[in-house]
Amino acid sequence: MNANIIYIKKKIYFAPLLKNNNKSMFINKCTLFVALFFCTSISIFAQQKHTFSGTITDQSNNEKLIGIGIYFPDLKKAFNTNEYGFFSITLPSGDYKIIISAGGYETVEETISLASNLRKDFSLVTKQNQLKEVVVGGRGGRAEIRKPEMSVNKLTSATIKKIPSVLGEPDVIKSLLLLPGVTNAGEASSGFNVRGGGADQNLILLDEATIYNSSHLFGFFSVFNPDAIKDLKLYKGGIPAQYGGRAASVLEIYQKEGNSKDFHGTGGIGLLTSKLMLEGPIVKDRASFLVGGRASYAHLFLKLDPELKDNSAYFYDLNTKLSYKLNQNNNLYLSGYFGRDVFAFGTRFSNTYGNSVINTRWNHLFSEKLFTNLSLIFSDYYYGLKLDAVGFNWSSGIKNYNIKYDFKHYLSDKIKLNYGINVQYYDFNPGLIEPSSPTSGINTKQIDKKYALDNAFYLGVEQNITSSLSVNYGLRYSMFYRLGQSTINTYENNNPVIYNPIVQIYESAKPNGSIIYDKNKVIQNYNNFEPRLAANYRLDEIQSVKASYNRMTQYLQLISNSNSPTPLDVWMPSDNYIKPQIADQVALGYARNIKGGDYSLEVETYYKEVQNRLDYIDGANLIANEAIEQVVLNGQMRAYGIEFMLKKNEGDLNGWISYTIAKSQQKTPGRTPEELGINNGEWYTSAYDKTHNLAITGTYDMSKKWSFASNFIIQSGQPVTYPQGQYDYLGMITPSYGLRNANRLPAFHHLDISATLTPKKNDGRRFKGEWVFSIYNVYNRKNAMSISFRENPDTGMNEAVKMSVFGIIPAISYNFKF
Amino acid sequence: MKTVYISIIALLSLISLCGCEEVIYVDLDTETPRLVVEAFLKWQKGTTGSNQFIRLSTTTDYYTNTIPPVKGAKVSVKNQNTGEVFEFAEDLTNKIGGIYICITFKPVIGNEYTLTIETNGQTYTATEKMISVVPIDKIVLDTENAGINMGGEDRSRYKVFFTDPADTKDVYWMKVLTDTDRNGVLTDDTFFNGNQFSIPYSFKKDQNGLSMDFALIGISPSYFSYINIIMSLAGGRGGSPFATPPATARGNIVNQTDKNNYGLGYFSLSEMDVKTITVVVQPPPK
Repeated sequence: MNANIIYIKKKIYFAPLLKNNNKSMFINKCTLFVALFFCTSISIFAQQKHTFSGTITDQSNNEKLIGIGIYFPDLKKAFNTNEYGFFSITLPSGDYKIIISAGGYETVEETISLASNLRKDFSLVTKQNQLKEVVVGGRGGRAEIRKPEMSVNKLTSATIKKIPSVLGEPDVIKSLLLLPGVTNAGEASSGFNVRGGGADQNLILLDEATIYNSSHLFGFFSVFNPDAIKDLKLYKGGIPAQYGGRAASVLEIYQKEGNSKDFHGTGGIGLLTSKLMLEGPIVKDRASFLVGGRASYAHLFLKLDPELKDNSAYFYDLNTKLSYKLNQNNNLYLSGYFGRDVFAFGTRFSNTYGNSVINTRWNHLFSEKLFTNLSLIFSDYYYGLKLDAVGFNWSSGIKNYNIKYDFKHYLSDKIKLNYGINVQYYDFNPGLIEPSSPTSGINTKQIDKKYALDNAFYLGVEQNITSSLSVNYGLRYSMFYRLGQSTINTYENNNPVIYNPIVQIYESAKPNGSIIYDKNKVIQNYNNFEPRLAANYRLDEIQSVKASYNRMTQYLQLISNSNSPTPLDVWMPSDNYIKPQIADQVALGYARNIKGGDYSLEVETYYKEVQNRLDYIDGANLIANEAIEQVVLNGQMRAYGIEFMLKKNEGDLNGWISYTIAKSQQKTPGRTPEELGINNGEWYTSAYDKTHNLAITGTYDMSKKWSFASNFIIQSGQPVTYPQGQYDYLGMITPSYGLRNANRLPAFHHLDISATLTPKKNDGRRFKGEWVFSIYNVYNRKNAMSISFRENPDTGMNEAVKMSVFGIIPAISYNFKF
Repeated sequence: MKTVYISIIALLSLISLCGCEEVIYVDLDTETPRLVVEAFLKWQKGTTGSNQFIRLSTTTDYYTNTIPPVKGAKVSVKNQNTGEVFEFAEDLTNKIGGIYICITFKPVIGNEYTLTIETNGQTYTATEKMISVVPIDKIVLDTENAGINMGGEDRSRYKVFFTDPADTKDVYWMKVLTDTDRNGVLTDDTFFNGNQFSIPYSFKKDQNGLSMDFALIGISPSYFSYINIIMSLAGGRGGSPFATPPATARGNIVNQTDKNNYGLGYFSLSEMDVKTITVVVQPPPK
């Protein structure tokens, strides 16, 4: 109580200075921290101020609308809804005019009278004269020039669905590749690379649950069903304190809650996949369900071929969500995801892998100013392989138990706090080998399971310092514990990789002993402070400059030395030999809205350094390796670049042009002057380096009946290593390679178009169908997925072979809603 | 484990079938030639192992189809345990050249040998122990999988059985010497230590009735990782998104004169057991 009294005294003392004295601002900030820890529930400006709070939903289905701004024209201020559609604004008592304007919805204009705390929920009505499906303009539209948010891209499900794609199947991950600073290893490769980072450095969250593998069929499709998704947000930099655990980016994907007004369905029939999503009320306006399924059936065509009839290759996934609004202050959500890929060659070989996720969330309003969310998440990635010929079954995976308690504290119209706690327990199974039959010569073997506990506390403050300057500063404190039960090898000089100076290569050291740690005994722990800062300075009503800094710590490592992840890759925790990756990134940006926001321009530049990026010694065998520490060295990584994005947000024709010029490099120097290091210890181009990356995408709504969309992408080829010669060893013609990634594949480009036909008979009918005709890679560019070198078996001559995956691919699909 | 890996690659290749391949010309830089040493001394059980050869060549431009031999070199192998030196003389009857032979070699399991090569004013050396191997127990036709259709061809699968010693870390190379197009199977005993284990190997229809020599070769762990790299490099998987960064395959050949002008290849000594069978490739079961 003492603290409270002191605090209030200070408040009174500084109150007159608040408006025009920066120094007092700083002290004020400190008092706020004190306030936070001692009297979180005390209303700070209680004397004359009141809180206006509520939710904004879509009137047609009660879906919460994320990131919708409530504009106060008299104050020239806008406040946005959070990811659960909630807003809270504390203002001096009085009458205020408010405007809620979001693309696709009728604008709401009214005057609120704030004489006491006011709770008011808004249901936005879809515009009647819309030609096409609503594209919610609150996200993905104008450039953000008020909030201290940068290096963030938002896409709605509707935008994703409009982008032409391979075989007409809308794809979440592929649509990200049209954004500045995002690339991948080419067609049919999984994952994505943000600002020159590895695919393992992206944190992918589906309704807050971590997804460990984002691809189906080795990268042909992503695991997210676009019908079940509301929208997504990709943080490439300036990452807020609430997120942690990956070095490069955070991709937040929000699933729909399900329509709590009426029963509806959405579906599609395509050449390769079909999908159906059903949603509806369980208790009208209060409880809803959503269930969406998707499956590929291309393997059925294999049955037609007598030689391939015993083989199969397919995937399926299932999204589910239950939402229950207990009352105005409490909401419950249960989300689930289950996806699997299955390959089989007769009975000899079968392979299954995929993610499963279940998440229970409780939204609770402690007060009109304090919004909380408690999440209990279980996430699992499984990989299984059955090889009859060798007589064994293999399984590996990762299980993650995650508790998040997040508080959004709307202190005043100037300050918003976001604080919370995150506790995660990991159970890694690097591999279990079992005999597949009693006659198999294989011994059952469990590669030592690994356990870890990852805790974090965070506090982020979003503050409007002046009417032009707003900042978001915060700190995340992460604590990582690698836990037993485990047997840890020990090595001479604590060095699991030795350098052989005679032949100048790195070799695995032989353990000189081992330490057995009991269950839950701490083997190694790491603590890190991760400061975060983002600032926005509004130059005038239409433009702003931005700056940000973030430090991110990544405690999990994906053990993979291929250019893009494979389903077999194993995650492992940092330990006494493998240190966590630490990334520092600074970015500067400029954002401008042109013609009242019809167009927007965003330019950003960034510089990033990552410490302890793993690199693998030559010839490292990673599969079923029980002592990964013997084949890796801790290296470093750096990336920098400039990104441009010009968008047209309004009108029948909209879309964007994005261009990135960037560099991404890696280096693993020798640990002593005697050692050569990897690649002679020199900086080398990382596999994620794309010098130029230009993407143009646009949609044109011509009439009620027809709309068109098109993409064009051109980017530098993938870095690769070509041979500098050949030699013969035991009859094997072996290419001789030089330094890593010194060459590049040819430039990668393609143009895609699509046309959507909405028949007239849809008018006034509940069942609405549409036909989508698309052509991927219109001019049949044979983009190189790889160039490999081989000896021609007929001529005996060496040759270079370009492999390309997709030529021109026309597709037709039928989508429906009811 | 190597087999898992191979299967994954097979799987990836299957998926790749939907893509298309095209032979193109890529302009490549050529490095200065390096010495390549092929010194794989094998001692077949039941023989004296006195006849051995070593082949010397150099690296060359990637697109030529001739491998330049190294002639006029001085080659010798010394048993470090006994001090005995075996000279390898150039085989001048060989038309291509670069072959050095010795007919008085004495292999001893577990002894350490040093290879010395003098050529072009430079001296190269390499040291390795002779590795033993257990005998092949039996080679049997895998009746369940006889005459199966794999990759569009009728194949018959054989299983090569051997019993791994429990108290040692053993590495095997199973190679069908007469099936020259294929490199065989490499495996260590991680998953079957101390057990009788079998390595599957299948034959195509056109190999029906041929006599095949199965060799089980004991190799050292460092040679295992070397040959692993060579096989993946020679397999031509470079450049795909799933490919690992191509490595320079550094063997155990050291240039004592100029360290940076290192030699490629490997000096290794292995015991091997050879069993011969006549292959029967059955038609697929009706």
